[in-house]
Amino acid sequence: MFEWIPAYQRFLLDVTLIDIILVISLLILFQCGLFSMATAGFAAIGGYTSALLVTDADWPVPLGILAAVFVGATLAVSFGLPVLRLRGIYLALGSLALAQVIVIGIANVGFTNGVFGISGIPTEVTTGWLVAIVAVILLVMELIHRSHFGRAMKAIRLDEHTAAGLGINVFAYRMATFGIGGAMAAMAGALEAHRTAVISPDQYDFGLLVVLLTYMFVGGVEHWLGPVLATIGFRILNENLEFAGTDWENFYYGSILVVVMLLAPDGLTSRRFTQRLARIFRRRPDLAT
Amino acid sequence: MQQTINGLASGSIYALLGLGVTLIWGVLHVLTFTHAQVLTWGAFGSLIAINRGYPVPVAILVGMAVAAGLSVLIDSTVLEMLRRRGASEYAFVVATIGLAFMLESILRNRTRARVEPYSRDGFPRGPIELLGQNVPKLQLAVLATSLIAMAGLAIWLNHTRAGRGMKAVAYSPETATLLGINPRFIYAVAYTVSGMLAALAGVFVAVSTASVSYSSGDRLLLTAFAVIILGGMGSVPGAVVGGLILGVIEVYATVHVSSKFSEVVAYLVILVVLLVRPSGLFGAKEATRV
Amino acid sequence: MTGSQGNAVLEVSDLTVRYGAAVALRGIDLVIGEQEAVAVLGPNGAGKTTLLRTISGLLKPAAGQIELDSHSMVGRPAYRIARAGFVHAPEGRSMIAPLTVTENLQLGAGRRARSDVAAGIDEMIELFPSLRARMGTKAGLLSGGEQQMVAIARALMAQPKVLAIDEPSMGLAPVVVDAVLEALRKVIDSGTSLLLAEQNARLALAVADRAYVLVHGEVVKSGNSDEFGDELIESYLT
Repeated sequence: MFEWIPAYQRFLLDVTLIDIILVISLLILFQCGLFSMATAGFAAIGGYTSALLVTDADWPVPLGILAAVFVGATLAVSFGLPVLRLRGIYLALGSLALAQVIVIGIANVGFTNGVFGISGIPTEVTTGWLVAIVAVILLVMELIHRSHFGRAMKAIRLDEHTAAGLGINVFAYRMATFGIGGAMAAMAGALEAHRTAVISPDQYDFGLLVVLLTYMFVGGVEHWLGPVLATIGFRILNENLEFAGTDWENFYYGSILVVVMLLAPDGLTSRRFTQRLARIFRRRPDLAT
Repeated sequence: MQQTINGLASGSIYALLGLGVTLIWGVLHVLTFTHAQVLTWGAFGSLIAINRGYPVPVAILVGMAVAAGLSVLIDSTVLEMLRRRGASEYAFVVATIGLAFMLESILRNRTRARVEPYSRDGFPRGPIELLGQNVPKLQLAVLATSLIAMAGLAIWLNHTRAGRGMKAVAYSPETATLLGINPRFIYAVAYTVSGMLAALAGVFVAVSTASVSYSSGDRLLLTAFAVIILGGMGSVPGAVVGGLILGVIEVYATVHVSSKFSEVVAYLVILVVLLVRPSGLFGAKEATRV
Repeated sequence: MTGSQGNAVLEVSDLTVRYGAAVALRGIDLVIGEQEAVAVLGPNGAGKTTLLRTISGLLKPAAGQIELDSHSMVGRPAYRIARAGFVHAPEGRSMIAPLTVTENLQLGAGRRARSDVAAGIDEMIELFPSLRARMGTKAGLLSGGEQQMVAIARALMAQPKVLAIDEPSMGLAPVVVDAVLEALRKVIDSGTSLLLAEQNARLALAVADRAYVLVHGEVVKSGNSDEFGDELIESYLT
C-alpha cells in the first residue's frame, strides 16, 4: 500500500515508526512517574524471542511477534512486583541492571548465537503493518490521556502521596503501566527484527536509551504528540545534518539532554515551559499581544 | 587464597568507587552518572603528568586535582542550576547522563579513540610473600590505600567540625544553613573528596591494565552503583564492605563459571539485593516508598 | 510604638514579602533593642513564620530593609545572616536527628575555637540541667521538650545577638512549656535579645517586654506587654 514511496524514504519511515513505538513505551512509564531504563532490554527480549521462534521453531511471524509481546509483559510484571514498591532511584538502577543482564546474557548464551546475532529473519513486516500498529497505539494513548486512567497516572506522577490519599491504587497503576511499557518495547524489538532480518546484542546498548530519552524530553512528557513530533523531527534533522555515526553524535545528544533538563525538565512542550516562554514574550513591549 | 587476594584487590578499587558515589548520594541525594568520566579524566590527568616526567606521587595528585576540579565544576554549574529550580530526582539522573556522554565524547575525540599505554614504572612491582602465597605488591598497595581512605573518611565525618557540617547538610540543608553552615561549600568539599577517590581508583585501574582509554570508566559506573546498593546507599562502611565483597564474588565467578559471567556479576548483585533487601547491608530502611 | 533604651540591635523597616502573587507580609516595621525580649503574636497563617524566615534569609523580601547592628541583611545568604548574629531556631525544633545532643550543640558553635566550644557546652548544661543525662543520645530520640531545650541551647552556642524562636510551645504539654519558659527567661537574663513568635499569647507576654500583633501579614497593634489586657488578647487572637 505504501509502495509508491521511494525505497530509501520508506526505510526512513519504517525506522521512524519503530522509534515512535519505543519512545511511547518509555513515555507511558514516565507519565506515571516511573523512570525506567530497561527499554533496550525489553526490545532485545522481544526481538530475540520472535526471531528465535520464527527461525528455529518455524512459527509464523505474527505469532512470533505476539509471543514477544507476551514475554515482554510477563518479564515486566515479574520484575515490577518487587521493584515498583521501592523509591524511584531503585527502579532506575534496577531497570538499568536488568537491561544489562539481558543483553549480556543474550550475547553469551549458546542458543542465541551469541555476539554474532541472528540473521536471515523473515522480513514480513511492511510499512503498512507499522503504520497500522502505530496508529492504533497513538489512538489508545489518546484515549488513555482523556480517560480516568490517564488522569490517575498524571496524579501519581505529580504527587503520589496525594494521589494515594485520593484513593488511587498507586501500585496497581504502576504495575499496569510498567507491563504495558515492557510489552510495547518488546513488540518494537520484534518488529525491528522482522524489518531488518538481522539482530545482534550490540544494537541494544545504552546509546539507544539516551537517544530515546532525548526524543521524549525534547517532545515533552505531558502528551504523546510531543515525543512523536520530536522523533520525526530528529530523524529529518539527522538525515540532513549528517551527524549520525560521527564522533560528535554522542556529544550532541548529551548536550541536548542537559539543556532540556535545565530549561524544561518536563519537556519543551510542557505547560511550565510554554508559560515561561509566554511570560518572557509578554514582557517585551514591542510585541503587541 | 590467591583468588581471594585478587578479589580483595579489585574489590578495594570498587570500594574507592563506592565511597565516592555514596558520599555524593549521602550529602546531595544525587546519583552521579558522571562518576565514570570523572574517574577516566582523572586517570588521563595522571597519565599526562607521568608522560611529562613527573614522579608517580605527583602524577596521582595531578589526576586527583583534575577529577576534583571537574566534579566541582559540574556541580557548581549545571547541578546547582537544577537545584535552584527544584528539579526532581530524574532530572539530575538525565542531566548527569547527558554530561557523561558529553565528557566521554570530548575524551574520545581528543584521544582519537586510542587506547593509551599506562606505564607501571614508579608503582610497586613484583610479589611479596605473605602467608605462603605470592602476593603482588601493587595489590597490597591498592588494598592498603582503600582501607586508609575509608578510615580517613570515617574519622573525618565523625570527629571533625567539617564532617559534622557535612552530616548536617546531608540531613537538612535548611537547618544547617540556619546554623551558619554554607551548604555550597560543603557540596564543593564533598565533590572534591569524591573526585579524589575516583581519580585514585582510576589510576589503580590504569596501572592494573597498563592502559587507559576514553571508555575505561564505562563498566565501572554500574559497578560503583552495585557497590553502594549492596553496601547501602549513603553508608561509608557499606561502600567498603560492599566493594570488597563484590570484588571477591567477581573473582570466584571468573574462576568457577567463566570470565564472561563475571561481567554480569555486578548487575546480578543489584537485582538480587533489590529483590531481597533493598536497603543493602548497612543502609537505612528508607528504601520503600508509600 | 515605644522603643527601648539603647541602640536597636535589629531593625526591620517596611518589609514586604510575596508568595507568587499573594502578599504574605505588608509594610512590617519592627525594632528589637539590646537585651530586649520581643514577641510576635498572631493567629495561624498571620505571617509570623514568614517574618522570621525572611529576617533569617530563607526568604527574599520584595521590599523593605532589615538591619542587624546597623548592617543591612537584605540579600545576604542565610548562613551569613546566622554568622552575623541572628540565629533562627525554626518551628518544629529542627534537630539533626542522627547526631547526638553534644554534636548538635557543637554544630551550633560554628567557628568558635575548640576550647571555647567545650566551655560553651558546659555553660549550656548549667543552663539546662535536664540535658546533662542526654548528651550522648541521638537528637532524634529525645522528647519534644528536650528537643526544644537543645534547639535553644544550640542557638545560644553561637553567642547570637538576637535569638529568634518560632513557636517553642507547639506540641508540648503545659508542664514542659513551663520549663521552656524558664529557659527563655534565663536567655534574656544572660543578655541575648529575643524574638519570639508564638500563637500562645499569654505565654509569650509572660516572657516578652514588648509585643507586635500580626494579622493577615500586617502589624495591627504593638506596644509594651502590660498594655495587652485580656480583652485585647481575646479580640485579636481568638
